[in-house]
Amino acid sequence: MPSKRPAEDALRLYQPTIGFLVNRLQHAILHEAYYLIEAGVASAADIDHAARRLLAPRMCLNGLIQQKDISGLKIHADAQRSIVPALFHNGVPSPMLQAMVARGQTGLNAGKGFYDWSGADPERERVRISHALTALLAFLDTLDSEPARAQALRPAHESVAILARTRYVAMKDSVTRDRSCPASRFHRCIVSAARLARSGCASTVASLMAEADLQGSDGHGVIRLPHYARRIRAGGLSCVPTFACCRSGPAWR
Amino acid sequence: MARAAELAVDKARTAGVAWVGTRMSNHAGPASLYARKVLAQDMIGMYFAVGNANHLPPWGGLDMLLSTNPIAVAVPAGKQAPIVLDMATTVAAYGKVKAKAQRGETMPEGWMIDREGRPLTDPRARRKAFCCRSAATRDTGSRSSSACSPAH
Repeated sequence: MPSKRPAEDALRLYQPTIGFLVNRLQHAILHEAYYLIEAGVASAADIDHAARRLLAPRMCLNGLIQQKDISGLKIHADAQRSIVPALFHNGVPSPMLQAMVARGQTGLNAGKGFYDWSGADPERERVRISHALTALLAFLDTLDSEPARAQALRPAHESVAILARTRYVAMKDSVTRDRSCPASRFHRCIVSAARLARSGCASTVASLMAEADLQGSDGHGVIRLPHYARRIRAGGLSCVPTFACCRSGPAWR
Repeated sequence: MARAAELAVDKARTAGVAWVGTRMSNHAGPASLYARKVLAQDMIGMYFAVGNANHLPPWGGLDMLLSTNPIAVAVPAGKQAPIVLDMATTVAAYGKVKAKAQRGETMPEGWMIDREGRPLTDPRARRKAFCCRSAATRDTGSRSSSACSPAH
């Protein structure tokens, strides 16, 4: 597959090494993961869950090394002393993996690997993942952008608004093209960037804002989000509104 | 406001026509959003709102007594595209003035006047100026007992 990495993703290695950087890190983790599966310690699905939800998000934000600086090297050094000796170091490629390949269990294309892929359309699956990856990288770019960094020290509600807005601008084109579900996509963007979902009515507000933008009323759409956040903080806007009918009757009363 | 539109549709289904007033609401987006929610039920939707700030002097006056009080009307037109009106009662909606200020553009003459009644074209000076009237302001606020312009 041709590489589409931008120049700033180029890495410098100071001496030649087999597997270069990404594969060395990846194989170190995978070798341990295969051992855990083979030894019956954890399932492939649970290992993936741990990677997706616990390891990867922090790695996305601060990599491997910087994250340890942030969480503190004292605890990390203690943990290394107790955990590293127990890791699986044998210098031998996983016999389990070699045997799977020999049996023809080569993954998605074969219909079976660690997971059962029977009935899956490999091409469609890859396109889906490719699109999701592009969206994720774009979102990470917005987190690194100057406006997002400048907002990092502001109160939560304001950062929330700015992040959601930056994200929305980045995805507005695709939202406009995909008119079938702009509201749900925008809603997801708010929820993921802002956790505004706790407010209960985020979905209603998000769909109304998206609708306003789509009908061309830009001045009333997502541009108002920072203002909403300010009103929420000031207590002038309830996130959990209650509606009551004060008076109801015929017009001629 | 979405809830009020739903309520109006429900009431109109049984009574033929319905009017719902809301209080203690916040910014709710473009007026036509809610008129169109009624339109989607093949009914005529009308929406009148009292703006939150008064930027507007009465004809010939210099006191900021009125708000931009937007109006929207949506009418089904059978096989043709529906008719949707969405307007402020000023020459230009205040949101458009804010947008011009954000983009660093000037306004055409006639959108706003300064305190002496002279045309104002710099949107950044909007806080010391007035919007220009273009239509009669409805008595929406008094009908729903909400806070409204001091002129009422």
